[in-house]
Amino acid sequence: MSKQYGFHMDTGRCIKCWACEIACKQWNGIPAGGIKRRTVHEIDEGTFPNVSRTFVSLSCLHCAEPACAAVCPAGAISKRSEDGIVVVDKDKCIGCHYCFFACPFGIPQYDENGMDKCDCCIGNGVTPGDTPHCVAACPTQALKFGPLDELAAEVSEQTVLQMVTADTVPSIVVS
Amino acid sequence: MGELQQVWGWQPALYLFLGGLSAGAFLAVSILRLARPGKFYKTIRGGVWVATGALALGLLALISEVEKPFQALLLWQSFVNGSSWMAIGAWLLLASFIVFALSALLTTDKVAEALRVKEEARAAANKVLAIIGIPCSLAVAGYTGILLSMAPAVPLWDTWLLPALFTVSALDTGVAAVMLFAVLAERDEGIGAVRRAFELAVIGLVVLEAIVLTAFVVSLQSAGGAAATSVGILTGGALQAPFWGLFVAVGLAVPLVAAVVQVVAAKRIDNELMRVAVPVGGSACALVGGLTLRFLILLAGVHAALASPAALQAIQGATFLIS
Repeated sequence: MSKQYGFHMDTGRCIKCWACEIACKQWNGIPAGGIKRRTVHEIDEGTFPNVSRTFVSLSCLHCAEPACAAVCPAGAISKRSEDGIVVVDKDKCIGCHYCFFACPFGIPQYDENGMDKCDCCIGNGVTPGDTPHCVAACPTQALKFGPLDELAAEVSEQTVLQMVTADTVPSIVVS
Repeated sequence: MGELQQVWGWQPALYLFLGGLSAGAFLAVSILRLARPGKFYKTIRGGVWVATGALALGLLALISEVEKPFQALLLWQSFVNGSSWMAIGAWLLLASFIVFALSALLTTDKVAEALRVKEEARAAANKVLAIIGIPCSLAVAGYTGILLSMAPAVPLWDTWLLPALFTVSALDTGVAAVMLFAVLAERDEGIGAVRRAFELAVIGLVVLEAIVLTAFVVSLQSAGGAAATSVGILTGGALQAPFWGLFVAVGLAVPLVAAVVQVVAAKRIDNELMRVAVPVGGSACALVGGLTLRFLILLAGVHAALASPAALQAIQGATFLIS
């Protein structure tokens, strides 16, 4: 693989404004109330009075070894060799829902056209070197997009850990 | 944790039951056919038609669940990924259905007469189909569980004990269905010995199922985390009433008692109604239990990322993830 693009999610900057979610829906023409390609999760930790909240904006993690693609009977999910983006061929997808049960992050969602998930906006005309709309809309620059090695270099002062659940090796940097 | 699995609804659950029932029934009658050639026509005919009909209904349920059922019917373009167990299973189910359907047609006197199949050729073909059908049935029974256990993000399903549990339950429900024909329809002499063999099989299968079930529950509980949460939904959570009431009591205990009563005291029961009611009731309860089991396992199969926020926390805790 020549390059692996991915997201950098800086939890220290996210203010849970949902701009990324809304931008994603608008630019990809997804109706309100239906599929969410990007979701801002809130993780609460500790017990009163020592509590903390962390916000994590997640979409498809474009894993190096996508479990969804392995289980897809129709071969509708593939990983692009040029940029590592995992894409769905909606013509091939039969909507069997099996990939939901394979993805460790529960990312795949469905409508009558089959499975739907983040494609880094290449479906609405953004080239991989450019900025997807969730990243462009983020007011605090909590979300970044780019080649994964460059993103990783920016946070390299911090402890580098391999993700525990990463059987699938997700392409994301979280700090 | 009251959240239940909703992505796969009642159709896959029904398929998991019917697929198992079909496999178990075909296996039972195939063994009977090979062990006692040319006898017990009504039992065998009933069994092969149950196997064929149940598999056909199960496949319809499965197809109706997907978002694009008509596209899914084009097997040669929709089931092409050799690394996907669903694709492997689709072809296995098609092959098995052909074997089961051919066997059902050739077993039926009227069809064979209409087709003017020679008696010897028919007997030979039925024997061959029974021999091919035995590995097919075992594969169909096991596949119902393998389909679920190969979806790695659901802790409740992520164990080889699930295919084991579904296979034993498939054989149990299959024997129960064939038993109904042996009790209600069969007129051949010697069916008493067959019924007794079936009763003994039921006792063995229920005991085995209870052992596998215990291993399944205990191993998931001791695994902790999302696996323990999921199994807790069954044993002490939102689904505990159908789990203990319909599956364990009605589906396992009642058939066991009915079979033991038949084996131990059949000769002492002189009431004709009771001689029919006990095995028929036991079989009906076994079928209810098998159906309940598939619904329970599907409903309690909560996704790991939803069962506990651990998956998300793992992302948050990991600073750097790279391919």
